[in-house]
Amino acid sequence: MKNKPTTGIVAITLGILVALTPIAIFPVCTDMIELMNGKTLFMKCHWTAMAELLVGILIVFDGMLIMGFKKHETRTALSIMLFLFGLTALVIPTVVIGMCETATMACRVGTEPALIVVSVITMVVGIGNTFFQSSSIKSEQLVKKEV
Amino acid sequence: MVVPRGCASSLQNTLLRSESNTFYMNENLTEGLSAIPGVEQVSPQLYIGSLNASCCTVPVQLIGFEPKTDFTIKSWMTNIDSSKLGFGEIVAGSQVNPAFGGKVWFFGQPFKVVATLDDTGMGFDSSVFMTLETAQHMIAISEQTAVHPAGTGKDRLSALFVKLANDSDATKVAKTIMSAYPQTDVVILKEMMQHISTQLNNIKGLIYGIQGLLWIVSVLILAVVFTVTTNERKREFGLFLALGATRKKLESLLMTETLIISISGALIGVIAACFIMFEFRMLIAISLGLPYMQPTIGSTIILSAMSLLISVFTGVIACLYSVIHIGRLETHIMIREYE
Repeated sequence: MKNKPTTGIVAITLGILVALTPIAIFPVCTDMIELMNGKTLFMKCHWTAMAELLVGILIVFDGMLIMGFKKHETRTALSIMLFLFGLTALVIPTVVIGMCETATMACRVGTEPALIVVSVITMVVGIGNTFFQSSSIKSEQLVKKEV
Repeated sequence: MVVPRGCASSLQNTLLRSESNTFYMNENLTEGLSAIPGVEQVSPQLYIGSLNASCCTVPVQLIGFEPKTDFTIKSWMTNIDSSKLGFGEIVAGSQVNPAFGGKVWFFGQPFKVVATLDDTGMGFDSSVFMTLETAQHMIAISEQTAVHPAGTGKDRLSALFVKLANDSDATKVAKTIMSAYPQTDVVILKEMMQHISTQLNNIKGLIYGIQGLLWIVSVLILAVVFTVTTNERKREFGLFLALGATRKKLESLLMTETLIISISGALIGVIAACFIMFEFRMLIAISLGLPYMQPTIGSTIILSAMSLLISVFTGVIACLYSVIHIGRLETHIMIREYE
């Protein structure tokens, strides 16, 4: 149970980073697509930012739950969820929605790489904590057997 | 390179920083320059900057060159014969994405992409090359069809590239050109490259200085950390000695632990650095404002291996004091330390 607050705090921080990266840290493109009829549309990266905001909030909640629950089994499940949220945060800008086409646009230069780095760290933390919690479960079971 | 007065920096930014610029000469000076002593060949080029729309487009530099006299572009287009580039055909830079069917539209006209260049790290990545005839035709058509025409008039030129004879002095020829044609500026390639080289050397010096300082600080911090942890484990080491372990065994135990920690730390650091450097390559290139090429896999592996070695070496140096210190202490003092 030693890592309880640590993993939770790390997850909350990563969640905040996922949510804020496309909005404040490395903002996506702010210009609009202007159609022939005069209407304006948001670019792809805007919707990626919105989706990442949602995923970031979910990661923050996941981190809070990891801090709140004591059972190793529950924390293992929450860590698997953290890994999956990290994976979601990774595929949204790269596969599912994507970013603008041109490599020199703001969303491709800053937002996309930053989101990839943060989401990969989230996945590593999730998978690492899953293994840590699993080993804690095993050691608990061994202690019970010995008793 | 001979350009209109005041356009020297525009040309440099176009060639090095992917900045899109449009500038024209008021008259064709090709014949006049050819007559200057020391000049071997003169080749005209035309620079047109495309539109920078609000969304989803980047300004592209359109470069028109004369295939008959060209000696600059053909020298690095090794797999393509630039002299065979036809009317309406273009060679695109690595960052220019052709639309479906291998065509790119400029000023309301389609152009066929016959080849795409590899990454150069320079302005050529967002440039498009075509013959002078195609570029001049595009200006003429854009006057009638495009919302924002590329210019007016016929037979426009932006720059004249001058090849000098082997024994001629570039600075002297530049002075002659500027005194004969005061409406021009002359950019000497050698000076331009020297300027970049000086800038790069300054950055390199700063980076090496910071690296050196960081290395010294990390050695000191690690030495303190190792000393503190070794002191906390004195009793454990004393018991090992009492049980029959030799001092050499104790030293090798400490050294092995240090090596394991150093190698794992260095591996995590190298992987993280490679990952971040690769992901943020475009941001680095833009922030530098200088020609930037992503390191190749080979050079990345060499750099990583060197970083790994230096990190492990740092760990070993930092641990040496603790190893020597623990090797000199008496066994009974080590065991009774906290009694």
